[in-house]
Amino acid sequence: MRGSTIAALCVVALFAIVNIYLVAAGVLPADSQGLGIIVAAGLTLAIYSFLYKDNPFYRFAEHLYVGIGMGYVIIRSYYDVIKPKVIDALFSPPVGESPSLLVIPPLFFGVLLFSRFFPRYAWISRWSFAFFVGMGSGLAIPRTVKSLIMRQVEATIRPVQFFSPIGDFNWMALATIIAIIGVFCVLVYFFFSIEHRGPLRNISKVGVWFLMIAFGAAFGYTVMGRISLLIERVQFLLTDWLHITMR
Amino acid sequence: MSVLEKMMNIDRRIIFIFVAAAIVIPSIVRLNLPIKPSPMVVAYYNAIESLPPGSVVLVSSDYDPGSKAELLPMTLATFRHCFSRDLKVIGMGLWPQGIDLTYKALRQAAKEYGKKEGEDFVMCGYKAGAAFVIVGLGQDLPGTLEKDVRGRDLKSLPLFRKHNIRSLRDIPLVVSMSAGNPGIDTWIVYGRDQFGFRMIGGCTGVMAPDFYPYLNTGQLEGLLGAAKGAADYETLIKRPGLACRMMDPQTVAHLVIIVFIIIGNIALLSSAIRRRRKA
Repeated sequence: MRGSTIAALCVVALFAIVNIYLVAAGVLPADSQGLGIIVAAGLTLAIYSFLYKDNPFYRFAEHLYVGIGMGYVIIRSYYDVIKPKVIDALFSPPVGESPSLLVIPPLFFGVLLFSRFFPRYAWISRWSFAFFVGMGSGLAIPRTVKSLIMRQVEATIRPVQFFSPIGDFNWMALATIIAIIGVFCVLVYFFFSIEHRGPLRNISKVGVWFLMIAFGAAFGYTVMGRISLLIERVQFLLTDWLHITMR
Repeated sequence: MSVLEKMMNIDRRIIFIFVAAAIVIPSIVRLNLPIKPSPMVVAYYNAIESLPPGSVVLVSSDYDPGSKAELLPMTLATFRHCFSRDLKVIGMGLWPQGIDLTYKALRQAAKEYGKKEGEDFVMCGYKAGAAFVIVGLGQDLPGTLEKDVRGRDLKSLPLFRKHNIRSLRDIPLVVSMSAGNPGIDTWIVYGRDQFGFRMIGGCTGVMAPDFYPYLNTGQLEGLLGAAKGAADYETLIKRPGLACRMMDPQTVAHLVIIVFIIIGNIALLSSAIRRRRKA
């Protein structure tokens, strides 16, 4: 028997002993809730075991997560969308109402998407995609231009007020000036039609600094988010599973 | 090999042990570090405070259990704040996976404040279609959401009958708890800028910097970014909860990471200087 297999068996045995003790001592209830906590704790440890190295426990937990996640989405979509919007609307409409035939055209285009599974007839799905792309673009383009481009440009070129109506210096005006300089320098950096020489080179260098600071802020937030996820799991293990009280 | 060179080749598992210790120890022994709310969290709080009692708030749960640690505390705190101000809440979601978590939080907050389902709050569940759902809500809100999670016709519920809610134009404030797309930006592009309601949101740390430009334009009035934003908000509503408990280990873990970044950079610079001297 290989060393890694023995180590894995020891870990499983340790996990089992801890859980038997927790249940026997009355720390965990011997019911479905207690079983749920034990399963959740085991899967959490299995996922974090990847930090040591890739292993079968991690892969099992990962596949289980993906499978359950997908199954949940399918069931939710069926009961929240397909059943009430399609099946009930067509075959069991409310008393006194006739079946909603308006459901048939979208249902038809939806079913066509499944032709992707049959290479010979995959081309039929293009009708549905054409419909989605056309409708999606028509809906998205004017709204995106208005909300994401025009509103941002408007906010950037708004007159800067250095003093408030009562005469106090407005420190936010400095932030606006920095934002304007940042937008200009970054735009210059991404302007590739002219070679970046002389003053243009210096401006684009400032643009790179703005980009780096933005990436740094985004990465800092990412680290914070990931640490938060870890803390939540650790606190689950400490409080819900092991019942170690916080002081 | 010098100490600094050894530091550059340190086994990543040693760093993991330090980070784990930085999280486990402050989770057991509280440090009670101070929490100072940031301006965008204060703006989020003020947006809800500014609504007169009885106003209707629509909360969209646009996340999944993977983001529970960051978004559930702020969702629960938002419901508590709304109910403490006697606001009505309509819950819904553009993501299928987060609905049960949000509904549980909604019922928990409602129970704490003695609110009744159908009268003070309603959960409409997951609605497929993202942008199309928002456009539909702008035209006919009860017609798009149709029923609550208990299968009751929305038009028959006291909350809808009393407040005569027909579209998003009748909703003074929309809150999106967002972990991706569809989320805050979808609500802004297809809803807020089209139908003119006020909007605030909560998001994961990864996404927060993407939403800062919306604060500058006023498209978003306030933002809760990650667990820190949630902790700030819990402090403001004077109901410290899940997020506040996370702040001590969060701070210590950040300090450990900062120390490792500084050590790594010193080691990198010193080895570069040494190589230059040798050359």
